Amino acid sequence: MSGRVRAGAFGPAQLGNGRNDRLLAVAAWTVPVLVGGVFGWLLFDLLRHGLGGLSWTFLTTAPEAAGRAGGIGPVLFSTLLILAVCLLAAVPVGMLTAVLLSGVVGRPPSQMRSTFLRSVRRSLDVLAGVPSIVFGLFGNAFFSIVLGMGFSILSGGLTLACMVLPIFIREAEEALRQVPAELRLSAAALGLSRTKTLTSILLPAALPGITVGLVLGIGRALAETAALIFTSGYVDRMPGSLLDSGRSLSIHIYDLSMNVAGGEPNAYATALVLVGLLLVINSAAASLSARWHRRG
Amino acid sequence: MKKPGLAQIDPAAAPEPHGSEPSGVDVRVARDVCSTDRAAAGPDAQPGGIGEITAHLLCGPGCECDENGVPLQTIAEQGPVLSVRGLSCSYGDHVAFQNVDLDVAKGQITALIGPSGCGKTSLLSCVNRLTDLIPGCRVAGRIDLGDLDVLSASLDTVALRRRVGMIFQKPNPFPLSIRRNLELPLREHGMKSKARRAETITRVLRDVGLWDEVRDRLDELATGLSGGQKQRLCIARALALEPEIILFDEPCSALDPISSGVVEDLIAGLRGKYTVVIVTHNLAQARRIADRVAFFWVRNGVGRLVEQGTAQQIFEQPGDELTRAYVAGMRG
Ligand SMILES: Nc1ncnc2c1ncn2[C@@H]1O[C@H](COP(=O)(O)OP(=O)(O)OP(=O)(O)O)[C@@H](O)[C@H]1O
Ligand SMILES: [Mg+2]
Repeated sequence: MSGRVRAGAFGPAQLGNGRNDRLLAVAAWTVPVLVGGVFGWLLFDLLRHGLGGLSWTFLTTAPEAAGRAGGIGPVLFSTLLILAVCLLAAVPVGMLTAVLLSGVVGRPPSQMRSTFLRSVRRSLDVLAGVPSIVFGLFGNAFFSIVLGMGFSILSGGLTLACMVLPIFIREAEEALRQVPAELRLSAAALGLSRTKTLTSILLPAALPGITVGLVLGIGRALAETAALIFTSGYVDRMPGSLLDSGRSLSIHIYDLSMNVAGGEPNAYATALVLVGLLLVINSAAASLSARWHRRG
Repeated sequence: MKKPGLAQIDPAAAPEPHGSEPSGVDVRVARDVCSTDRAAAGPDAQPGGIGEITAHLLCGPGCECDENGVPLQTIAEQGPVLSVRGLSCSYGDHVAFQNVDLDVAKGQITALIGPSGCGKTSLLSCVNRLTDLIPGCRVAGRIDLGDLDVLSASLDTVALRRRVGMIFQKPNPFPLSIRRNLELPLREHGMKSKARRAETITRVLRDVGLWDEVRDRLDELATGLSGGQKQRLCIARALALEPEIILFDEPCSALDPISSGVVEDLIAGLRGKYTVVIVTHNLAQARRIADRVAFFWVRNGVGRLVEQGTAQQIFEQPGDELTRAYVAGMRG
């Protein structure tokens, strides 16, 4: 009797659980397959249309006939310059801010300081969500006009730095916070100075997370068009200095596919270069960070 | 024979203490012998730095040695090296413990026992001022470590922490190579000579019985060691700085029984060479290794020191009913 009661009490619930489990399993497989599929299709499409146009000459020669013919040499070079300016500005400023915000160095902050830090953090979160066109307008007004840099690689790179900073800082801060508190305490217990603790223990331990932040930032910077149109401009000649205008890969793609009739084949090839560049930077960052970590 | 000399002992005069001992938990090094040879101090000897080894235990200012350099005076006669008076510690509004008076004798092992949350860890953190790093933590009272006023606002905490080693419950080597783990603090405290660092690293790894296990993998990540090995590495790291006093916060509670036994023997072997304070929940362990025991209890949410005395007193003739019940395993 009691056995039957128990079976009755548990039977239906188990059935329900089984159905939910199956549903979850189906969902858990469908979503990744869909996401992977979309990415695969995108990559396949890019390869199918772009691979034919890709060659060493394409990478090194200047565009001709508004980009329909010729290569992307100056565009690639400008892109790398813009990226370099962006990183040279964003990484030091970002690291210092992240260290300050994370509060992993030194004594606990006073009441006033922690209120200040909280508001900085909130502002960064808001900035991270601001559309890039707004950064473009700001960069144009501030770097190009007020600071007199005009349409230049410098102005574009610095604008990108402003855009990348909020993401990078928050990622780096999180990575520093994730370092177990015991490491900090045992470093302090051994009488290590704050600087030594930061440079020898906290930063290496947080490096993988910081690298993720950096790669995310680079991705955002490389993909950017709106912020650059108003700042670095779209001149497709080889830049002579950082104060010259330079066209980035993403602007080149945009221009070819929207404004230039018959520009599609080269737009595809350029897009393939952009994706390749992203992959190269991504894996270089990952392996560098792993090597540094292993070196200990 | 007043001058200290630990690492500077002439190797010819003092036989290499670790010769062919198996995994020696023997920390006897050259500490038992006083040396007059000050000139032998390394080239980077500097006051307060590691170059100048100050003899903390056996060769203090009052030390008397016989013609072989063996001290005549026993450690216990030299009075407390650490004295805590009227110490209270609170986190925000929450008082962790109040009004603690504690004496720790030189060269002895003092065990702190008591239930969870009675403030044992907090007390240890007061001694090396790690409490400075905890938001909202306030400490009042007086702590004297030798001639040092530990709670003084003008104290150089880096110098303090060189004199006070600490081992945590969770073994926490830095995510660096084994060698770098030991080198980092040595370099930071002014041992510039690479050869002397290498020598010190070998010595402390031998002292904790880790040398034979890791000698071929010094450049591998320390995080790849087993739990017990990690904890011994942490002890080696602390020993490398030759602290006067070492604080152990439940050093065995995260380890398996065998590693725990190894670490316990290691700590017991520090007796006489270092002053040791150990927090433990393992009463049998306290009984085995402690010379003195202090019993803490929580009253109205606030930790108090109930009773302290020799291990024998606390375990066999406790003066307080609470202590009697606790050591009998009835409460806590
Ligand atoms: N960082 C902290 N912030 C706030 N309160 C804390 C902090 N650390 C400890 N406390 C509180 O202080 C009291 C004493 O804690 P402590 O860790 O010193 O006890 P303990 O005796 O070491 O306990 P256990 O045996 O569990 O390790 C506890 O009530 C605890 O909640
Ligand atoms: Mg504790």
